[in-house]
Amino acid sequence: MPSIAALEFNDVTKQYSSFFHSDRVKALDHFSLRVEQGEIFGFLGPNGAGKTTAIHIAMGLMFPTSGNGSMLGAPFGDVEKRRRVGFLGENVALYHRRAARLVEFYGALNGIHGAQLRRQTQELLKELDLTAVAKRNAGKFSRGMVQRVGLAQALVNNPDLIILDEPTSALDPIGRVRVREVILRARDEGKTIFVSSHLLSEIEQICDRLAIVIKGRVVRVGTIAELLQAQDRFVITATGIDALMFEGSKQNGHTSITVRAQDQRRTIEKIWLAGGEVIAVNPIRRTLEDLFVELAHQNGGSRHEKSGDGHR
Amino acid sequence: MRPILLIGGNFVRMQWLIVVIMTVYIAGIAGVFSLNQESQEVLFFVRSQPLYILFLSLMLGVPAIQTDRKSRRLLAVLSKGIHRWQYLGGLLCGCTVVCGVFTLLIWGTAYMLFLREARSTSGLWLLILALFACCVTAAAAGLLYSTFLHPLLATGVATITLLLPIPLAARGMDMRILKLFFPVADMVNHLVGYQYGAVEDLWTVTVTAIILAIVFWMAGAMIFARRDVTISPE
Repeated sequence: MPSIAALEFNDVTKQYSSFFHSDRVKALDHFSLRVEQGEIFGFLGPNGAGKTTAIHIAMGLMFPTSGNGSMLGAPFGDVEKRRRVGFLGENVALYHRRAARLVEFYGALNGIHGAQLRRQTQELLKELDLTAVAKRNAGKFSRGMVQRVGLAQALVNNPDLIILDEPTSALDPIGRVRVREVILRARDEGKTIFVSSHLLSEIEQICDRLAIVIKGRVVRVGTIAELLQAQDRFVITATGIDALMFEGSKQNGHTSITVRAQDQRRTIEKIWLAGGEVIAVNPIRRTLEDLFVELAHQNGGSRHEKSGDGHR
Repeated sequence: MRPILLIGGNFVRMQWLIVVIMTVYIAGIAGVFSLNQESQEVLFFVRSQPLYILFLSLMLGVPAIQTDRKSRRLLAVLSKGIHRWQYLGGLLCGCTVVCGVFTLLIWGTAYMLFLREARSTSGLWLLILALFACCVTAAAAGLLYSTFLHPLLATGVATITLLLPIPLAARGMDMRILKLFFPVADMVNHLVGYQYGAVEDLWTVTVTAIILAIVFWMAGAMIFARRDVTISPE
Protein backbone atom coordinates (compact mmCIF):
# COMPACT_ATOMS: atom_id res chain seq x y z
CA MET A 1 0.00 0.00 0.00
CA PRO A 2 1.53 3.35 -1.02
CA SER A 3 2.32 5.78 1.79
CA ILE A 4 0.27 8.94 2.20
CA ALA A 5 1.81 11.86 0.34
CA ALA A 6 2.48 15.03 2.27
CA LEU A 7 1.16 16.96 -0.70
CA GLU A 8 -0.33 15.71 -3.93
CA PHE A 9 -1.74 17.53 -6.94
CA ASN A 10 -3.70 15.48 -9.45
CA ASP A 11 -4.17 17.09 -12.84
CA VAL A 12 -4.99 20.47 -11.33
CA THR A 13 -5.93 23.30 -13.64
CA LYS A 14 -6.60 26.81 -12.44
CA GLN A 15 -7.96 29.41 -14.74
CA TYR A 16 -8.58 32.99 -13.74
CA SER A 17 -11.16 34.96 -15.54
CA SER A 18 -12.09 38.58 -15.33
CA PHE A 19 -15.59 39.67 -14.31
CA PHE A 20 -16.85 39.64 -17.87
CA HIS A 21 -14.90 36.47 -18.77
CA SER A 22 -13.26 38.16 -21.72
CA ASP A 23 -9.71 37.51 -20.58
CA ARG A 24 -8.81 34.07 -19.25
CA VAL A 25 -5.47 33.37 -17.65
CA LYS A 26 -4.35 29.81 -17.06
CA ALA A 27 -2.14 29.74 -13.98
CA LEU A 28 -1.97 25.95 -13.66
CA ASP A 29 -2.35 23.62 -16.58
CA HIS A 30 -2.97 19.94 -15.73
CA PHE A 31 -0.49 20.27 -12.89
CA SER A 32 0.48 17.05 -11.12
CA LEU A 33 3.01 16.65 -8.35
CA ARG A 34 3.65 14.40 -5.36
CA VAL A 35 5.67 15.41 -2.32
CA GLU A 36 6.63 12.60 0.02
CA GLN A 37 6.62 12.88 3.79
CA GLY A 38 9.88 13.78 5.49
CA GLU A 39 11.59 15.45 2.54
CA ILE A 40 12.60 19.00 1.78
CA PHE A 41 11.00 19.68 -1.56
CA GLY A 42 12.05 22.67 -3.65
CA PHE A 43 9.57 24.36 -5.93
CA LEU A 44 11.15 26.42 -8.67
CA GLY A 45 9.83 28.42 -11.54
CA PRO A 46 10.09 31.80 -13.20
CA ASN A 47 7.78 34.63 -12.22
CA GLY A 48 4.23 33.84 -13.18
CA ALA A 49 4.85 30.11 -13.49
CA GLY A 50 2.01 29.24 -11.12
CA LYS A 51 3.97 28.42 -7.96
CA THR A 52 1.99 30.65 -5.63
CA THR A 53 -1.29 29.57 -7.19
CA ALA A 54 -0.39 25.92 -6.55
CA ILE A 55 0.46 26.70 -2.93
CA HIS A 56 -2.74 28.70 -2.40
CA ILE A 57 -4.81 25.87 -3.83
CA ALA A 58 -3.10 23.41 -1.50
CA MET A 59 -3.87 25.68 1.45
CA GLY A 60 -7.53 25.94 0.44
CA LEU A 61 -7.22 29.67 -0.17
CA MET A 62 -8.44 29.18 -3.71
CA PHE A 63 -10.15 26.41 -5.59
CA PRO A 64 -8.98 24.58 -8.71
CA THR A 65 -10.97 24.96 -11.91
CA SER A 66 -10.49 21.21 -12.42
CA GLY A 67 -8.52 18.42 -10.84
CA ASN A 68 -7.99 17.74 -7.18
CA GLY A 69 -5.35 17.04 -4.62
CA SER A 70 -4.60 16.17 -1.06
CA MET A 71 -2.60 17.46 1.84
CA LEU A 72 -1.52 14.97 4.53
CA GLY A 73 -4.07 12.54 3.12
CA ALA A 74 -7.09 14.84 3.17
CA PRO A 75 -8.52 16.96 0.35
CA PHE A 76 -7.08 20.44 -0.05
CA GLY A 77 -8.50 22.92 2.41
CA ASP A 78 -9.34 20.38 5.10
CA VAL A 79 -9.47 22.35 8.35
CA GLU A 80 -8.21 19.59 10.64
CA LYS A 81 -5.20 18.92 8.43
CA ARG A 82 -4.44 22.62 8.16
CA ARG A 83 -3.85 22.61 11.91
CA ARG A 84 -0.86 20.38 11.19
CA VAL A 85 0.46 22.68 8.49
CA GLY A 86 2.64 25.77 8.81
CA PHE A 87 2.32 28.31 6.02
CA LEU A 88 4.43 31.35 5.25
CA GLY A 89 3.12 33.24 2.26
CA GLU A 90 5.09 35.34 -0.16
CA ASN A 91 5.37 38.99 0.98
CA VAL A 92 3.87 38.04 4.30
CA ALA A 93 1.61 40.64 5.88
CA LEU A 94 0.64 40.45 9.52
CA TYR A 95 -1.52 42.46 11.89
CA HIS A 96 0.02 45.39 13.67
CA ARG A 97 0.53 44.18 17.20
CA ARG A 98 3.33 43.04 19.46
CA ALA A 99 5.42 40.34 17.85
CA ALA A 100 4.97 37.83 20.67
CA ARG A 101 1.23 38.46 20.85
CA LEU A 102 1.01 38.10 17.09
CA VAL A 103 2.67 34.70 17.09
CA GLU A 104 0.44 33.62 19.97
CA PHE A 105 -2.62 34.86 18.09
CA TYR A 106 -1.83 32.69 15.06
CA GLY A 107 -0.92 29.75 17.28
CA ALA A 108 -4.24 30.09 19.11
CA LEU A 109 -6.08 30.05 15.79
CA ASN A 110 -4.50 26.65 15.23
CA GLY A 111 -5.89 25.37 18.51
CA ILE A 112 -2.82 25.72 20.71
CA HIS A 113 -3.17 27.55 23.99
CA GLY A 114 -1.95 28.06 27.49
CA ALA A 115 1.57 27.32 28.64
CA GLN A 116 2.38 25.30 25.54
CA LEU A 117 1.61 28.24 23.26
CA ARG A 118 3.65 30.66 25.35
CA ARG A 119 6.61 28.29 25.53
CA GLN A 120 6.62 27.57 21.80
CA THR A 121 6.30 31.26 21.00
CA GLN A 122 9.24 32.14 23.21
CA GLU A 123 11.39 29.35 21.79
CA LEU A 124 10.68 30.39 18.21
CA LEU A 125 11.27 34.06 18.86
CA LYS A 126 14.59 33.14 20.45
CA GLU A 127 15.55 30.88 17.58
CA LEU A 128 14.74 33.57 15.04
CA ASP A 129 16.55 36.32 16.96
CA LEU A 130 13.34 38.16 17.80
CA THR A 131 13.41 37.99 21.60
CA ALA A 132 14.67 41.54 21.94
CA VAL A 133 11.78 42.90 19.88
CA ALA A 134 9.09 40.51 21.12
CA LYS A 135 7.20 43.31 22.82
CA ARG A 136 7.45 45.73 19.93
CA ASN A 137 4.70 46.36 17.39
CA ALA A 138 5.34 44.22 14.30
CA GLY A 139 3.78 46.96 12.20
CA LYS A 140 6.94 48.98 12.70
CA PHE A 141 9.31 46.16 11.77
CA SER A 142 11.54 46.03 8.70
CA ARG A 143 10.60 43.58 5.93
CA GLY A 144 13.20 41.10 7.12
CA MET A 145 11.90 41.15 10.66
CA VAL A 146 8.31 40.76 9.51
CA GLN A 147 9.48 37.78 7.47
CA ARG A 148 10.99 36.22 10.58
CA VAL A 149 7.83 36.83 12.60
CA GLY A 150 5.95 35.28 9.68
CA LEU A 151 8.14 32.22 9.91
CA ALA A 152 7.54 32.04 13.66
CA GLN A 153 3.75 32.10 13.15
CA ALA A 154 4.10 29.35 10.57
CA LEU A 155 6.03 27.13 12.98
CA VAL A 156 4.27 27.89 16.24
CA ASN A 157 1.88 24.94 15.91
CA ASN A 158 4.80 22.53 15.50
CA PRO A 159 3.51 21.48 12.06
CA ASP A 160 4.10 18.21 10.22
CA LEU A 161 4.10 19.97 6.86
CA ILE A 162 5.71 23.36 6.39
CA ILE A 163 4.90 25.31 3.23
CA LEU A 164 7.15 28.27 2.62
CA ASP A 165 6.68 30.65 -0.30
CA GLU A 166 9.87 32.67 -0.77
CA PRO A 167 10.85 32.38 2.90
CA THR A 168 14.15 34.23 2.60
CA SER A 169 13.30 36.87 0.02
CA ALA A 170 13.64 39.79 2.44
CA LEU A 171 16.34 38.39 4.69
CA ASP A 172 19.96 39.34 5.02
CA PRO A 173 22.62 36.59 4.72
CA ILE A 174 22.60 35.89 8.46
CA GLY A 175 18.83 35.64 8.45
CA ARG A 176 19.01 33.25 5.51
CA VAL A 177 21.45 31.01 7.33
CA ARG A 178 19.17 31.02 10.36
CA VAL A 179 16.15 30.07 8.26
CA ARG A 180 18.15 27.33 6.57
CA GLU A 181 19.06 25.95 9.97
CA VAL A 182 15.43 26.00 11.03
CA ILE A 183 14.40 24.15 7.85
CA LEU A 184 17.10 21.51 8.21
CA ARG A 185 16.28 20.96 11.87
CA ALA A 186 12.60 20.57 10.97
CA ARG A 187 13.55 17.92 8.39
CA ASP A 188 15.66 16.12 11.00
CA GLU A 189 12.57 16.03 13.21
CA GLY A 190 10.75 14.20 10.42
CA LYS A 191 8.73 17.11 9.09
CA THR A 192 8.06 17.75 5.42
CA ILE A 193 9.13 21.08 4.00
CA PHE A 194 7.80 22.43 0.74
CA VAL A 195 9.74 25.52 -0.20
CA SER A 196 9.27 27.81 -3.16
CA SER A 197 12.18 30.11 -3.86
CA HIS A 198 13.99 32.04 -6.54
CA LEU A 199 17.28 31.55 -4.73
CA LEU A 200 18.60 28.57 -6.63
CA SER A 201 21.75 28.19 -4.56
CA GLU A 202 19.61 27.88 -1.47
CA ILE A 203 17.37 25.25 -3.03
CA GLU A 204 20.45 23.37 -4.16
CA GLN A 205 21.87 23.40 -0.65
CA ILE A 206 18.89 22.18 1.31
CA CYS A 207 16.44 20.32 -0.92
CA ASP A 208 16.21 16.55 -1.28
CA ARG A 209 14.06 16.83 -4.38
CA LEU A 210 12.74 19.63 -6.48
CA ALA A 211 10.29 20.39 -9.22
CA ILE A 212 10.62 23.02 -11.88
CA VAL A 213 7.34 24.47 -12.99
CA ILE A 214 6.92 26.59 -16.07
CA LYS A 215 3.69 27.98 -17.47
CA GLY A 216 1.64 26.06 -14.95
CA ARG A 217 3.15 22.65 -15.72
CA VAL A 218 5.82 20.60 -14.01
CA VAL A 219 8.60 20.29 -16.57
CA ARG A 220 11.17 18.50 -14.44
CA VAL A 221 11.10 16.74 -11.09
CA GLY A 222 13.73 14.70 -9.28
CA THR A 223 16.60 14.79 -6.84
CA ILE A 224 19.22 17.46 -7.29
CA ALA A 225 21.72 14.81 -8.42
CA GLU A 226 19.30 13.39 -10.98
CA LEU A 227 18.53 16.76 -12.41
CA LEU A 228 22.06 18.09 -12.55
CA GLN A 229 23.91 15.01 -13.76
CA ALA A 230 22.30 14.97 -17.13
CA GLN A 231 25.16 13.31 -19.05
CA ASP A 232 24.98 15.28 -22.25
CA ARG A 233 28.39 16.97 -22.08
CA PHE A 234 31.78 15.63 -21.02
CA VAL A 235 35.28 16.93 -20.45
CA ILE A 236 38.02 14.72 -21.89
CA THR A 237 41.46 15.29 -20.41
CA ALA A 238 44.33 14.12 -22.59
CA THR A 239 48.10 14.51 -23.07
CA GLY A 240 50.41 14.38 -26.08
CA ILE A 241 48.10 16.17 -28.47
CA ASP A 242 47.86 19.62 -30.01
CA ALA A 243 45.20 21.55 -28.12
CA LEU A 244 44.40 23.69 -31.15
CA MET A 245 43.57 20.63 -33.22
CA PHE A 246 40.87 19.61 -30.74
CA GLU A 247 39.64 23.11 -29.85
CA GLY A 248 40.63 22.40 -26.26
CA SER A 249 42.42 24.36 -23.59
CA LYS A 250 45.85 23.51 -22.32
CA GLN A 251 46.75 23.59 -18.65
CA ASN A 252 49.71 22.01 -16.83
CA GLY A 253 50.58 20.01 -19.93
CA HIS A 254 47.08 18.51 -20.14
CA THR A 255 44.51 19.36 -22.75
CA SER A 256 40.86 19.62 -21.72
CA ILE A 257 38.29 19.11 -24.45
CA THR A 258 34.56 19.65 -23.95
CA VAL A 259 32.40 17.41 -26.13
CA ARG A 260 28.76 16.40 -26.44
CA ALA A 261 27.83 12.85 -25.44
CA GLN A 262 27.44 11.65 -29.01
CA ASP A 263 30.90 12.96 -29.93
CA GLN A 264 32.68 11.40 -26.94
CA ARG A 265 33.76 8.10 -28.55
CA ARG A 266 34.80 9.71 -31.84
CA THR A 267 36.92 12.32 -30.03
CA ILE A 268 38.69 9.69 -27.90
CA GLU A 269 39.52 7.65 -31.03
CA LYS A 270 40.80 10.82 -32.68
CA ILE A 271 43.08 11.47 -29.69
CA TRP A 272 44.48 7.95 -29.89
CA LEU A 273 45.02 8.26 -33.65
CA ALA A 274 46.88 11.51 -33.02
CA GLY A 275 49.19 9.64 -30.64
CA GLY A 276 47.74 11.13 -27.53
CA GLU A 277 46.64 9.51 -24.28
CA VAL A 278 43.28 9.92 -22.62
CA ILE A 279 43.69 10.57 -18.88
CA ALA A 280 40.12 11.16 -17.77
CA VAL A 281 36.55 11.52 -19.04
CA ASN A 282 34.23 13.41 -16.69
CA PRO A 283 30.58 14.44 -17.12
CA ILE A 284 30.01 18.16 -16.77
CA ARG A 285 27.85 18.82 -13.74
CA ARG A 286 25.49 21.62 -14.55
CA THR A 287 24.43 24.12 -11.97
CA LEU A 288 20.82 24.44 -11.04
CA GLU A 289 20.88 27.86 -12.61
CA ASP A 290 22.03 26.37 -15.94
CA LEU A 291 19.22 23.86 -15.84
CA PHE A 292 16.65 26.42 -14.79
CA VAL A 293 17.57 28.88 -17.52
CA GLU A 294 17.73 26.11 -20.13
CA LEU A 295 14.28 24.80 -19.21
CA ALA A 296 12.84 28.28 -19.05
CA HIS A 297 14.11 29.00 -22.56
CA GLN A 298 12.97 25.63 -23.91
CA ASN A 299 9.48 26.15 -22.54
CA GLY A 300 9.26 29.83 -23.28
CA GLY A 301 8.73 30.53 -19.61
CA SER A 302 11.07 33.42 -19.04
CA ARG A 303 8.25 35.87 -19.71
CA HIS A 304 4.70 35.17 -18.84
CA GLU A 305 2.01 35.81 -21.32
CA LYS A 306 -1.50 34.64 -20.66
CA SER A 307 -0.12 32.46 -17.94
CA GLY A 308 0.90 33.06 -14.43
CA ASP A 309 0.07 33.83 -10.90
CA GLY A 310 0.74 37.50 -10.79
CA HIS A 311 -1.99 37.93 -8.24
CA ARG A 312 -0.19 39.82 -5.57
CA MET B 1 -16.01 29.52 19.42
CA ARG B 2 -12.42 30.35 20.34
CA PRO B 3 -11.34 31.33 16.81
CA ILE B 4 -14.42 33.56 16.52
CA LEU B 5 -13.54 35.36 19.75
CA LEU B 6 -9.89 35.67 18.73
CA ILE B 7 -10.72 37.16 15.35
CA GLY B 8 -13.41 39.34 16.90
CA GLY B 9 -11.00 40.62 19.54
CA ASN B 10 -8.41 41.34 16.91
CA PHE B 11 -10.98 43.22 14.82
CA VAL B 12 -12.04 45.36 17.78
CA ARG B 13 -8.41 46.14 18.55
CA MET B 14 -7.95 47.37 14.98
CA GLN B 15 -10.98 49.68 15.29
CA TRP B 16 -9.72 51.54 18.35
CA LEU B 17 -9.34 54.80 16.47
CA ILE B 18 -12.92 54.90 15.24
CA VAL B 19 -14.16 54.03 18.74
CA VAL B 20 -12.09 56.88 20.22
CA ILE B 21 -13.34 59.31 17.58
CA MET B 22 -16.98 58.34 18.23
CA THR B 23 -16.48 58.62 21.99
CA VAL B 24 -15.00 62.08 21.64
CA TYR B 25 -17.76 63.08 19.21
CA ILE B 26 -20.63 61.91 21.44
CA ALA B 27 -18.90 63.30 24.53
CA GLY B 28 -18.55 66.61 22.69
CA ILE B 29 -22.26 66.68 21.92
CA ALA B 30 -23.06 65.82 25.54
CA GLY B 31 -20.73 68.63 26.64
CA VAL B 32 -22.43 71.17 24.40
CA PHE B 33 -25.86 70.12 25.65
CA SER B 34 -24.76 70.34 29.25
CA LEU B 35 -23.99 74.02 28.68
CA ASN B 36 -27.18 74.89 26.85
CA GLN B 37 -29.90 72.26 26.60
CA GLU B 38 -33.15 72.72 24.68
CA SER B 39 -35.91 70.13 24.66
CA GLN B 40 -36.09 69.99 20.87
CA GLU B 41 -32.36 69.51 20.64
CA VAL B 42 -32.54 66.40 22.82
CA LEU B 43 -35.17 64.98 20.50
CA PHE B 44 -32.98 65.89 17.55
CA PHE B 45 -30.10 64.03 19.17
CA VAL B 46 -32.17 60.88 19.68
CA ARG B 47 -33.58 61.08 16.17
CA SER B 48 -30.37 61.77 14.29
CA GLN B 49 -27.34 60.29 16.07
CA PRO B 50 -28.60 56.68 16.02
CA LEU B 51 -28.93 57.00 12.23
CA TYR B 52 -25.24 57.85 12.01
CA ILE B 53 -24.46 54.90 14.22
CA LEU B 54 -26.49 52.62 11.96
CA PHE B 55 -24.59 53.83 8.92
CA LEU B 56 -21.29 53.55 10.76
CA SER B 57 -22.12 49.94 11.65
CA LEU B 58 -22.70 49.18 7.98
CA MET B 59 -19.39 50.83 7.20
CA LEU B 60 -17.68 48.65 9.77
CA GLY B 61 -18.85 45.47 8.09
CA VAL B 62 -18.34 46.37 4.45
CA PRO B 63 -14.56 46.87 4.31
CA ALA B 64 -13.62 44.28 6.94
CA ILE B 65 -12.86 41.42 4.54
CA GLN B 66 -11.50 43.66 1.82
CA THR B 67 -8.99 45.27 4.18
CA ASP B 68 -7.61 41.90 5.23
CA ARG B 69 -7.64 40.67 1.66
CA LYS B 70 -5.92 43.62 0.06
CA SER B 71 -3.29 43.76 2.78
CA ARG B 72 -2.74 39.98 2.39
CA ARG B 73 -3.24 39.47 6.12
CA LEU B 74 -6.14 37.22 5.26
CA LEU B 75 -3.76 34.56 3.93
CA ALA B 76 -2.07 34.03 7.28
CA VAL B 77 -5.43 33.83 9.06
CA LEU B 78 -7.25 31.52 6.66
CA SER B 79 -4.23 29.23 6.33
CA LYS B 80 -4.82 28.25 9.96
CA GLY B 81 -7.13 25.48 11.06
CA ILE B 82 -10.29 27.58 10.99
CA HIS B 83 -13.41 27.52 8.87
CA ARG B 84 -14.36 30.49 6.80
CA TRP B 85 -17.66 30.80 8.68
CA GLN B 86 -15.60 31.20 11.83
CA TYR B 87 -13.58 33.99 10.26
CA LEU B 88 -16.77 35.75 9.17
CA GLY B 89 -18.29 35.08 12.58
CA GLY B 90 -15.22 36.65 14.17
CA LEU B 91 -15.63 39.79 12.10
CA LEU B 92 -19.32 39.95 12.97
CA CYS B 93 -18.47 39.39 16.62
CA GLY B 94 -16.00 42.29 16.46
CA CYS B 95 -18.58 44.50 14.73
CA THR B 96 -21.10 43.56 17.45
CA VAL B 97 -18.73 44.72 20.18
CA VAL B 98 -18.02 48.02 18.43
CA CYS B 99 -21.76 48.51 17.76
CA GLY B 100 -22.30 47.82 21.45
CA VAL B 101 -19.86 50.57 22.37
CA PHE B 102 -21.53 53.00 19.96
CA THR B 103 -25.05 52.29 21.24
CA LEU B 104 -23.89 52.49 24.86
CA LEU B 105 -22.48 55.93 24.11
CA ILE B 106 -25.81 56.98 22.64
CA TRP B 107 -27.68 55.49 25.59
CA GLY B 108 -25.43 57.19 28.16
CA THR B 109 -25.74 60.59 26.54
CA ALA B 110 -29.47 60.30 25.92
CA TYR B 111 -30.03 59.10 29.50
CA MET B 112 -28.17 62.08 30.88
CA LEU B 113 -30.05 64.50 28.64
CA PHE B 114 -33.42 62.95 29.49
CA LEU B 115 -32.72 63.31 33.21
CA ARG B 116 -31.78 66.96 32.75
CA GLU B 117 -35.04 67.46 30.84
CA ALA B 118 -36.86 65.66 33.68
CA ARG B 119 -38.21 63.15 31.16
CA SER B 120 -38.86 59.49 31.88
CA THR B 121 -36.03 57.20 30.79
CA SER B 122 -38.14 54.05 31.10
CA GLY B 123 -38.43 53.20 27.41
CA LEU B 124 -35.00 54.37 26.42
CA TRP B 125 -33.23 51.06 27.04
CA LEU B 126 -35.55 49.24 24.63
CA LEU B 127 -34.94 51.85 21.97
CA ILE B 128 -31.19 51.39 22.44
CA LEU B 129 -31.49 47.60 22.47
CA ALA B 130 -33.39 47.69 19.17
CA LEU B 131 -30.82 50.13 17.80
CA PHE B 132 -28.02 47.78 18.83
CA ALA B 133 -29.70 44.81 17.12
CA CYS B 134 -30.22 46.88 13.96
CA CYS B 135 -26.58 48.00 14.01
CA VAL B 136 -25.48 44.36 14.12
CA THR B 137 -27.84 43.58 11.24
CA ALA B 138 -26.39 46.46 9.22
CA ALA B 139 -22.84 45.20 9.87
CA ALA B 140 -23.88 41.65 8.93
CA ALA B 141 -25.45 42.91 5.70
CA GLY B 142 -22.23 44.76 4.90
CA LEU B 143 -20.21 41.62 5.53
CA LEU B 144 -22.54 39.48 3.44
CA TYR B 145 -22.31 41.61 0.34
CA SER B 146 -18.61 42.29 0.69
CA THR B 147 -17.93 38.55 0.35
CA PHE B 148 -18.63 38.85 -3.36
CA LEU B 149 -18.94 42.54 -4.24
CA HIS B 150 -16.59 45.49 -4.32
CA PRO B 151 -17.02 47.48 -1.07
CA LEU B 152 -18.59 50.41 -2.89
CA LEU B 153 -21.15 48.19 -4.54
CA ALA B 154 -21.63 46.22 -1.33
CA THR B 155 -22.47 49.44 0.55
CA GLY B 156 -25.12 50.33 -2.02
CA VAL B 157 -26.68 46.89 -2.19
CA ALA B 158 -26.65 46.48 1.60
CA THR B 159 -28.31 49.87 2.05
CA ILE B 160 -31.04 48.90 -0.43
CA THR B 161 -31.49 45.53 1.29
CA LEU B 162 -31.91 47.16 4.67
CA LEU B 163 -33.95 50.22 3.75
CA LEU B 164 -35.98 49.20 0.70
CA PRO B 165 -39.43 49.80 2.28
CA ILE B 166 -38.67 53.47 2.97
CA PRO B 167 -38.58 54.70 -0.65
CA LEU B 168 -41.39 52.31 -1.54
CA ALA B 169 -43.56 53.64 1.28
CA ALA B 170 -42.78 57.16 0.15
CA ARG B 171 -44.32 56.19 -3.19
CA GLY B 172 -47.48 55.21 -1.37
CA MET B 173 -47.04 51.43 -1.25
CA ASP B 174 -48.38 49.56 1.79
CA MET B 175 -45.34 48.22 3.60
CA ARG B 176 -46.97 46.84 6.74
CA ILE B 177 -46.45 43.17 5.85
CA LEU B 178 -42.86 43.76 4.74
CA LYS B 179 -41.99 45.42 8.04
CA LEU B 180 -41.07 42.05 9.51
CA PHE B 181 -38.41 41.49 6.90
CA PHE B 182 -36.96 44.98 7.13
CA PRO B 183 -36.36 45.69 10.82
CA VAL B 184 -33.70 48.30 10.09
CA ALA B 185 -36.08 50.30 7.90
CA ASP B 186 -38.68 49.99 10.65
CA MET B 187 -36.14 51.22 13.19
CA VAL B 188 -35.26 54.20 11.02
CA ASN B 189 -38.96 55.09 10.87
CA HIS B 190 -39.16 54.80 14.66
CA LEU B 191 -36.15 57.03 15.11
CA VAL B 192 -37.22 59.69 12.66
CA GLY B 193 -40.63 59.98 14.28
CA TYR B 194 -39.42 59.52 17.85
CA GLN B 195 -41.28 61.27 20.64
CA TYR B 196 -40.46 61.05 24.35
CA GLY B 197 -41.52 57.67 25.70
CA ALA B 198 -42.86 56.27 22.40
CA VAL B 199 -41.14 52.91 22.08
CA GLU B 200 -43.98 50.49 21.30
CA ASP B 201 -43.33 47.61 18.88
CA LEU B 202 -39.56 47.62 19.31
CA TRP B 203 -39.38 44.05 20.56
CA THR B 204 -40.40 42.86 17.12
CA VAL B 205 -37.71 45.03 15.57
CA THR B 206 -35.11 43.68 18.00
CA VAL B 207 -35.93 40.03 17.49
CA THR B 208 -36.28 40.19 13.70
CA ALA B 209 -33.05 42.21 13.46
CA ILE B 210 -31.14 39.54 15.38
CA ILE B 211 -32.64 36.77 13.24
CA LEU B 212 -31.80 38.69 10.08
CA ALA B 213 -28.22 39.26 11.25
CA ILE B 214 -27.80 35.51 11.73
CA VAL B 215 -29.33 34.83 8.31
CA PHE B 216 -26.93 37.35 6.72
CA TRP B 217 -23.98 35.77 8.50
CA MET B 218 -24.95 32.26 7.36
CA ALA B 219 -25.55 33.38 3.79
CA GLY B 220 -22.24 35.26 3.79
CA ALA B 221 -20.44 32.21 5.15
CA MET B 222 -21.92 29.99 2.44
CA ILE B 223 -20.81 32.36 -0.30
CA PHE B 224 -17.41 33.07 1.25
CA ALA B 225 -16.66 29.35 1.61
CA ARG B 226 -16.72 29.06 -2.17
CA ARG B 227 -14.67 32.13 -2.99
CA ASP B 228 -11.00 32.39 -3.86
CA VAL B 229 -9.60 34.70 -1.22
CA THR B 230 -6.39 35.65 -2.94
CA ILE B 231 -6.57 38.53 -5.32
CA SER B 232 -7.00 37.56 -8.94
CA PRO B 233 -5.09 39.34 -11.71
CA GLU B 234 -6.48 42.78 -12.43
